[in-house]
Amino acid sequence: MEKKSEMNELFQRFKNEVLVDVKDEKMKDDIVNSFIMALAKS
Amino acid sequence: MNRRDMYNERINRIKKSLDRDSTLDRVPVVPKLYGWLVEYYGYSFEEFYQTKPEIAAEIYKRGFDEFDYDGVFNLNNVTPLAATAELGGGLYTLSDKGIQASNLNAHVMQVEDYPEITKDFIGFCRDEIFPRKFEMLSNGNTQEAFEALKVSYEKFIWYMGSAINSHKQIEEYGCPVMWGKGGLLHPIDWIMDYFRDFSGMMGDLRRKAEDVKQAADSLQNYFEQNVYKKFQPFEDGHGVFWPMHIAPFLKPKDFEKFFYPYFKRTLEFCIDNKIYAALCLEGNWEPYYDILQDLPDNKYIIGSMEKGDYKKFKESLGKKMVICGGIPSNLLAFGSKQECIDHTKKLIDDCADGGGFIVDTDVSLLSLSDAKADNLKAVIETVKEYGKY
Repeated sequence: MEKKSEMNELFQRFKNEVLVDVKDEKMKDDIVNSFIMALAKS
Repeated sequence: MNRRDMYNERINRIKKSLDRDSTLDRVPVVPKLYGWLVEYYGYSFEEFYQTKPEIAAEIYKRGFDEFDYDGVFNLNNVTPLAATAELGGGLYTLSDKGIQASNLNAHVMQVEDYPEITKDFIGFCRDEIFPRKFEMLSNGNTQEAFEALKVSYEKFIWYMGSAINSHKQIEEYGCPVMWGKGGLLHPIDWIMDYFRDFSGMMGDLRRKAEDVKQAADSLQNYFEQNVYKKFQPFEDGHGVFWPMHIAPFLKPKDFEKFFYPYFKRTLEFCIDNKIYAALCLEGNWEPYYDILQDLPDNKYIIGSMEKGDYKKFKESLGKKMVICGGIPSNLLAFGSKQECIDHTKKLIDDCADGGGFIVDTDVSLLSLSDAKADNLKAVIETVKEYGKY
């Protein structure tokens, strides 16, 4: 449970600090989810 | 002829074949050359897949000049090895045979995890799969993990940007890159390929069938709502790609129960939305021809089957899909030039009538040992001469 929360926090931080120039929240979520899918199948 | 005219001539030929247009001049030839071209032009797989993805444009343009095909199936440069390397893991490895999946890294999910996929697919990937799969993410939210994730993303964007740029350059050179506008995903294949491995999935279908179906339903919904809805229809015949893996290992009753519902639903989505979809049907699908009669007649589905009798393939499914393929890599690798010519002529005799037929390799050519260049040239020349309508 702790690790789950930590991974969520890690990707939240990624979203907020790396995708800082993307202003639209939905677009940010789309980018993060697409990146997660790409990593999951690579 | 200028590059624009070369491109138009070729893509119109392919489109007319997809449409079963009676004014088509000859059978098109659209091979899957992939790693074969990399080695043929003296590059390494590491360069193509990891350090110099921009060489894709060069090798496909050189191949177009030398072999003069009508187009290529797609570029197969969508696996961001540089991105996963930053995280200390990943499914694929490079060998002298090209890019290959590692069985060890495809088993990162336990049988009791199925309800978690069903509940939240993306959350499951992030929270459960990534710490198991990627060493750099195994300790949770550390500064080291954040830095690795950041660099991995930069590499991912760099690699995919290069792939898009290569695609554009190759098309501007006159060579259509047909079915690389996105990827379709079968949920059972996804779970097998990326999470459970072959033996795990085959056991789950026997012992945990309901759990598998619920997870597959959830994935199918996710793919439709978040991936497929972004696909654009291309009137000129461009479209998406769908590799399929588990089907030939299923008995027809299991194919019908587990595989076919998602297969049909996805194809109907493509047909309804006028999205061309090129299927790589691994193995021999002849045992399922009766089941596949249920598919609607259409012009949007292109089927490239790895094994089996292409005459029977065309006769049985020629209205359900455009028949694409028929040139065995074994013949290209070990046959004589005359055997390649004879095989190509027979293939055209068997399948060309009425259009809806494209000559292609039966499988992706992944390394130089998969074909002799002279045999490939002989096939293409034979199609140009013997494949005239």
